[in-house]
Amino acid sequence: VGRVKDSSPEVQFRVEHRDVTRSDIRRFADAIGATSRVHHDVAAAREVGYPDVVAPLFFFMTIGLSVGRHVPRSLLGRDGLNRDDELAGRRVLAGETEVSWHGDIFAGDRVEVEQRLVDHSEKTGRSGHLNVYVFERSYSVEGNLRILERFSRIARDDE
Amino acid sequence: MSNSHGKNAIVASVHECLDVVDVFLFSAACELPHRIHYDAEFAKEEGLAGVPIQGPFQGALLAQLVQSWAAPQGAALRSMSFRHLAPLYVGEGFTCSAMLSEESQSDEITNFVLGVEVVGDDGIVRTRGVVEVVTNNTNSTGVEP
Repeated sequence: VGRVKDSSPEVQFRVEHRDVTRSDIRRFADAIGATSRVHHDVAAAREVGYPDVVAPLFFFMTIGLSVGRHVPRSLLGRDGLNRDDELAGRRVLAGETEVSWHGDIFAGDRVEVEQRLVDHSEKTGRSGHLNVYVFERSYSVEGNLRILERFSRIARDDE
Repeated sequence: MSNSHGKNAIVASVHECLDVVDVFLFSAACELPHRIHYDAEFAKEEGLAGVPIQGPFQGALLAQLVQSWAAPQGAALRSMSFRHLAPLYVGEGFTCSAMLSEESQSDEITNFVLGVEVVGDDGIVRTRGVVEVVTNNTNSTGVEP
C-alpha cells in the first residue's frame, strides 16, 4: 500500500459501463430486504410513473464495488480479491462515505461509472504512518448524473 | 419498526440479526468475492472475530430505514454520509435507528436532517452517519422500501 498515488492510470481513473437488468435490481432488493413492489414488479413500477422497475437507493454499490473486479479467476488471490488491488487487504480501513442522489436508476439503464482518485494525504498517528486516499465515483445515464459517491480508504504503510 | 415525531427523537428504528446467508447474498448481488464475508475461519486468520457484515450493507439498511420514514410524507433522500466505527459480525443483534435533528422550511420545500446509527445489542456504535431528506424532491426514489 502507499503506492496508489503513483499507480497505473487505471487505478487513478477508471470508466466502466453496466447494463442494469430487472434481475440485477430484484437480486439486490431481495438481498437488503427491500420489498416494495416497484423494485420487483414492472406493472407496479409503471403504475406510479416509473419506466421500469426502479433500483433501491444503494443499488449503485453493486456497480461501484465491482469496478475493476471483472477479472479471470486466476487473477484472484486466496482472499478473493484481485492480486493487483493495491488497496486490498486487512491493513486498509474504510473511512467516510458520502453519497448524493440526483436521480434514480431503472432496469434498462446503461450506467457509466467513473472512478477517480481525487486526493491523497499522509498522516502519522498512534497507528503509525497512514496514507489516506479519497476516491470519487459518479454514476451517469446518458450523460445525466444520477449518483455521486465519495469515499476514503486509510492504509497503513508496510512494515 | 417504530415511528414517532419530534426533534432529536428516534423517528424510525428496526432490530436485525443477520446470518452468513444474508451476508453472502449481499456479496453475490454486488459481485464481491472477498473471502472474509463467507469464510469464518479465513476471517479469523485476518484478525476478525467472525464474518463481518459489509459496510455498504449497513449503509443500505440505514438508507432503507430513512426512506421508510420519508416516503409516506412525500420526502426523499438527497444525501447521506456515514463512517464505520467498529466491525459488526453475523449473529450479532443490532438496531438501525434514525433520529430527527433538524427541520427547516423554505418556499415549498421542507428539509430534514437525521442522524443515523447502527448500534449492536452490546451498546457499541458500529456505524454512524447523517442523512438529508427533502420534500418535493422528485429526483430520488420516493417509494417505501
